Amino acid sequence: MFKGLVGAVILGSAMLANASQSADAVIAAATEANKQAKSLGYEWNVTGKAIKAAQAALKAGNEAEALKLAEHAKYMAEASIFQAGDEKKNWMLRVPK
Amino acid sequence: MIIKSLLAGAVLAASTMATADAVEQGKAIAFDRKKGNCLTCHQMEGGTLAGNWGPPIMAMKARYPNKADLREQIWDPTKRNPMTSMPPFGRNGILTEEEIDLVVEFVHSL
Amino acid sequence: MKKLTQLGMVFGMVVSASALAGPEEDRTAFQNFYEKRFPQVVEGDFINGVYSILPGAREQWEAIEEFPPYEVAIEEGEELYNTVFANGKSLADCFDTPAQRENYPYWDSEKGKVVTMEQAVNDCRVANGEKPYKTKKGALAAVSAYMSYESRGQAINVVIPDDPAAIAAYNEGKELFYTKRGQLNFSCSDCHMYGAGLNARADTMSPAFGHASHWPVYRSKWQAMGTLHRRFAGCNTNIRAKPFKAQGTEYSNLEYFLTYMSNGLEFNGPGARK
Ligand code: HEC
Ligand code: HEC
Repeated sequence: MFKGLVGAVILGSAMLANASQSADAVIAAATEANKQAKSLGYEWNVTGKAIKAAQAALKAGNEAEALKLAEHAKYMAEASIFQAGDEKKNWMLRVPK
Repeated sequence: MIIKSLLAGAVLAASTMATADAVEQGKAIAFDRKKGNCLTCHQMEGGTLAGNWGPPIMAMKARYPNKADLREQIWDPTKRNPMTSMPPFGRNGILTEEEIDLVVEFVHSL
Repeated sequence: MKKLTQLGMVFGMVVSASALAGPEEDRTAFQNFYEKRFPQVVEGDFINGVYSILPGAREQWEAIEEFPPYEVAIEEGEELYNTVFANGKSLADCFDTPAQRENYPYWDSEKGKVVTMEQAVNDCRVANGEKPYKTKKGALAAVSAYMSYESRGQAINVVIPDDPAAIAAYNEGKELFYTKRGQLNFSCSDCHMYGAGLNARADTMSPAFGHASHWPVYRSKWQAMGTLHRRFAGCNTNIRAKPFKAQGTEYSNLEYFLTYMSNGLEFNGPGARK
């Protein structure tokens, strides 16, 4: 019982910490990842827009919405980095012989 | 006994209703030009102005007895075929996981 | 140690050079691909883009070509070509003739980069103390239209010199053509090679063989002229990729590759498209 309670408190505070730090931190992580995608020549035009939308939501005080948008932006930035690596392997397949 | 089967019937009806609803929602996402936009490439029943880039989508239950395989084809078709032109709707975050589930329900009904 | 690394580098370069087919082999395979896919297209007709494979739409297009929507741009371009700069010179002083298409794009070994005809026009302006034109439409497209018109019938004959830097630029253009990019995950080749002749909704996709022949283009969708790099940017934006800069290295290398692939065809710009 006691143990369970402690566990719940820890879990709860971890979630809280996650939520309070998040939007800002996730926006920063998304921006960083998008920069990397750009340096690889693989930036998508939807990622920057999603980051801007997240920043606007945060400014308007809508933390939950900002977090959601930032996480999507981060996912897309990471997917475009993955694409760059994947294509290094695959593009030659498309060159006709 | 009677009560039990009555209950089961009600549950069943509710779940088919949910599925029918999912099929409709999935169709809307599949046909939306800003979402699935599947008609750019595929003929699908109920859709108009379809392209011919990919095969017509039909008899899906026979082609994909296992729904998970169909989901995989929509989530990232390049895994099976790196040469394919079909976009990886899940891998590239074009659709959300929930949207893909709904599209799978719709496509499996074709 | 240093020697060893250098040796390793040389060895590595040899290996990767043989893994990549040379430009000439590439071009033969590229042109064969389209000739096999569209045996009905008569020799040289790929310069007419999607109309080379769509007899129905071709009639309509030929009717448009009777009163070419790019005619105004040609006249405007001729005027700009001869307009005197503040220093008393003009574009006409930079080129021996406006019929320049056959000389571009080329590898400039001094600058260490590919120079397109549009870039040469802007370089001329800058060398004479003028501001460069914007690179996608407007004055540059007009000057390009005039020069292209004067160049009609010249053979496409891009040269890739036996210089590692030139070959690297060519290979970058080639890689850009074949790599999937953007959220929608398309390569140019997905649409204009393996998709050529197929329909995305109602749009038939054109073969890339001949893509570089007829620029700039008056596009009804734009209601204006646009340069080749404007088109590249449009195709990149459609697949949700961030486009590269017009006249930047990426698109100039792409133009270098793409034009080289069409060697043997004729320049027939400016053009009109949907
Ligand atoms: C750019 C064109 C394109 C778009 C857009 C597209 N597909 Fe495809 N799809 C293809 C091609 C081409 C194939 C053929 C298989 C291959 O290329 O590997 C295919 C195959 C499939 C298959 C497998 C068919 C079979 O018989 O096995 C399914 C299912 C499918 N697509 C569903 C979808 C759905 C659902 C959407 C929209 C969310 C969609 N596709 C959007 C091009 C496209
Ligand atoms: C999703 C498909 C798609 C992709 C990817 C794509 N394009 Fe296009 N492109 C089109 C369509 C559709 C048109 C208009 C119809 C036509 O002429 O093909 C077009 C037109 C063009 C034209 C004009 C053709 C003409 O005759 O004037 C050029 C040049 C071109 N694309 C080059 C490229 C290059 C280079 C890339 C890669 C950076 C690319 N495209 C990527 C679909 C695509």
